[in-house]
Amino acid sequence: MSSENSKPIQIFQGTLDLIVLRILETMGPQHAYGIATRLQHVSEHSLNLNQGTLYPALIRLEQQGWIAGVWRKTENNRDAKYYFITRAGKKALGKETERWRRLAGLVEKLLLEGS
Amino acid sequence: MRRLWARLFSYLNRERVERELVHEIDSHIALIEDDLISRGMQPSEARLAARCDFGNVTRTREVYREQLGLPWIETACRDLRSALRSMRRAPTLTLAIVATLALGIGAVTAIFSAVDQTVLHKPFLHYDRFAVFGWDLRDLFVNISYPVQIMPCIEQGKSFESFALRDQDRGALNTGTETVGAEYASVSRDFFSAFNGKAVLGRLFRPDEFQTASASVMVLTDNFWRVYFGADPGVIGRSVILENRTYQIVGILSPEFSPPTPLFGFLSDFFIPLRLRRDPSFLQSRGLQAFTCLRKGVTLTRANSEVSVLCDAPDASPFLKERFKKSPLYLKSLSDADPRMRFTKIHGAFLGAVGFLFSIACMNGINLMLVRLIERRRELGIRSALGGTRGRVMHLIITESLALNLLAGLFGVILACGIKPLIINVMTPSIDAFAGAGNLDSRALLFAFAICLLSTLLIAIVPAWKLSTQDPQSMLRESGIAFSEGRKLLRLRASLVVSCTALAMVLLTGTGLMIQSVQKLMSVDRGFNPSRRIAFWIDLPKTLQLAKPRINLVQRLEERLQNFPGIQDVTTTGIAPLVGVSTRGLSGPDGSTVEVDFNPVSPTYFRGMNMKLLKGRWLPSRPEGSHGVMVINESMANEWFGVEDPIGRGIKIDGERSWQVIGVVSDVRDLLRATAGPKYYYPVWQDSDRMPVISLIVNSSIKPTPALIQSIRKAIHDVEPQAGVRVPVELEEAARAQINKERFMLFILELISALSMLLAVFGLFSVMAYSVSQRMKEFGIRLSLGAPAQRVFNAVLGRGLALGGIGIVIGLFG
Repeated sequence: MSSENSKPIQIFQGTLDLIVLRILETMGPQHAYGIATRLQHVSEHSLNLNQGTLYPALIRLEQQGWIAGVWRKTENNRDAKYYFITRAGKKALGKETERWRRLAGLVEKLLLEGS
Repeated sequence: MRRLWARLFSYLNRERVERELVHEIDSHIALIEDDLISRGMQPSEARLAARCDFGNVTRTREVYREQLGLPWIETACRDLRSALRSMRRAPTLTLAIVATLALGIGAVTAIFSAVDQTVLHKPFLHYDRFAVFGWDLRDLFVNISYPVQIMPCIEQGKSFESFALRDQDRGALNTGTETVGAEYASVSRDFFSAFNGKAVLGRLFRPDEFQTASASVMVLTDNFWRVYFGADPGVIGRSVILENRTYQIVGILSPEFSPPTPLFGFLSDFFIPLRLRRDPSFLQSRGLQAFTCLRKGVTLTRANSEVSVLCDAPDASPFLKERFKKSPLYLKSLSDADPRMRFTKIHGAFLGAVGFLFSIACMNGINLMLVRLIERRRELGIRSALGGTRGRVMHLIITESLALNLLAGLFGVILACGIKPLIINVMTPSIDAFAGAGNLDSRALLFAFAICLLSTLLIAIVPAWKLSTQDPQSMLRESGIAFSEGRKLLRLRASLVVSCTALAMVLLTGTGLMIQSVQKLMSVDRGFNPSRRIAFWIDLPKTLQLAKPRINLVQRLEERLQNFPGIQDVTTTGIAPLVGVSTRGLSGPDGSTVEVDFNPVSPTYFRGMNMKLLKGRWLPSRPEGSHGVMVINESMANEWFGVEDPIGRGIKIDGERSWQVIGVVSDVRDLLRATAGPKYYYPVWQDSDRMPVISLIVNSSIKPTPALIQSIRKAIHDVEPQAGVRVPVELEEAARAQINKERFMLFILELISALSMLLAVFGLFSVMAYSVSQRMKEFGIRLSLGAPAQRVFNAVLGRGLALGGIGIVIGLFG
């Protein structure tokens, strides 16, 4: 997991939860590797995400009841735990997205004001 | 909340959850592998690459686990198991650590508890806010004041929350079966509530009993009740006669009741109500002890400024005005004024000593713990290489240290249970230890637990820090002790041993100094020899207080006891030295009235007490003419007459009659800490209605036994059945009792320094033993290369001596 030009971005706790929820909502059920691959792809390898970060986020979300996991076969006929977003998760995603937008807007505004 | 449930749920199903996680990680790696193969990588390479890509599996699982279940409990349990396992693996080392710490914790707890319940024991609530009224007489704070002075404070004072007044008295009490001399006190309404007095049987006084003059009720102390009433519960409601007045016993005080000790250390045997009155005779005549609990937040200085305004009683008698002109009434905090508590200055040194002992134990613990971790270096290296975070390894070490300390604490408490009664026993009955002081109370257990935790931290911190600065690789690589690291560790351990020895040395030196000063106190020349002398305090009923019957009684008693087997000598005085003093107003050299100690004595007193006659002659054996005579002591001669010759001078008693000075004798020191003041002696027949007591001082030819004392008591009763004889006082014992607390502290200091010496030696031993075991190989090589055994021996011995020597030098000069 390297990037050519920039240092990897460290990700806030909580932000990752939001991203995972969003990926699951748009892409449907995914296994952990699928989520990780998708993340790297989207971030163009600038996100330094190791499994030590992803797994705790998954278990956290599962404990909150926002996602649920079931064991299924992949295309290659391997067993994998697929995570999907629950109804509570969708509701939470809506709330969290709203919150994130407000926060981001606020930070943006502050940064603009300074310049 | 939901997460907590989920955690609890997964904790309960942790095996299944764990299995699923392993499965998930496996499948994750397999998916990466598939992906890589599909991109054209060789399967064998892909497998490796997938593993690399995934990263540290153990670490992931570890982090995952922290999210899952209740990691705190889980890891703690696991660490505890591992700690116990490793403790079992190295039993000798474990035993050494536990023994060292148990000794430290046990000794510190026992000593803390013993001191806590005796010297530091606060006998009642708000002890720090209590103050007592008094004035200075020479070096002595006399906590006596007069109602006329206190009344304005009670009525108008703003600094005071409550007052507790005590009027100390003594008299003969007829219990119905016998007459006993007793010390009693009239106390004001708030006295019991102020000093935490509770009735274990019956009741205390009712408010109305402080109002009427006719209420004749009495409350007994637990001790008096046990000794003279055989702890009979039926005593409540019984009538007793005190000074021709009938009183009804209404209650028994609990044994813990411990009001401040009166000026000369007599504890009351029973209490009667004190009625505050406004008539001049009450206001002016009686000196009593007035205690006050200051309002919260009021400083002693502020209270004193109020006292100086209010106590300047304009209606006081000329006598009182005269008395308090030189040294006005002021408040002294009870912790300063109470002789029991006069020890506060040494508390610091004492706590320091306990702290030293504890740090020596801890340093030894650190030392041994380091050895443990060096032995387990490989294991810990593997742990961190396998993904154990630094925090996790620290957690492990702390858990292990905690397990060791708790074990040590357990043994320590058991040890303390054994040591503490020993400490208490050595010093009782001379210190004020109350019933049950031999046991460890909840405070002591809490203390033990606290120092357990403290030593846990202390012992874990150094090794944990040492470890966290080490590279796991180097820890793995070295099979033997790494050269540089080993050196550093050895140096650290050696410096710990040196500090231990130094601390022990400081303690020893301190103890030596204390021994010296206590010995100096013990060998102070008191002006007479108290050894083998017993004072029998006899309370006289009113009929025997008059001159004639009193002289008669004294003669009969002395005659009876003179030829008593086992008695060398007998003499009579008012109040025996070391037991108490009585003072009286004399017209001083400048005409003003001065309080001077006095003692009416029988003619045999001077010889009986081995006093020195400096000038003139001793009191005659029978009255010579009508004028009174007296013998004064050296201090009085110097203070009153200076270089002039006092012999033949007249001194006015109570501003009326004049007594002639016929001799000067040496000083007798009653109180060790106060210099001897002026004192005069006069024949017992002269002016004898003054004293309601006489004291027989018996000089026994052998060491007094209880049987001898009992037979003397009986003989006194035979001569005069109405005489109230109190528990006799062995003067030598009384002399020693004045420095009891010093001796108690000395004993504890000796104990502490002995233990610390033991621990220091043990520490030195452990370092040497370990370094020798590490250097076995080296010694073997040296010996096989032809080094004489003597030289190797010398090298080891030299190192041990050097470490000890450095410690001693630092300790001596530090």
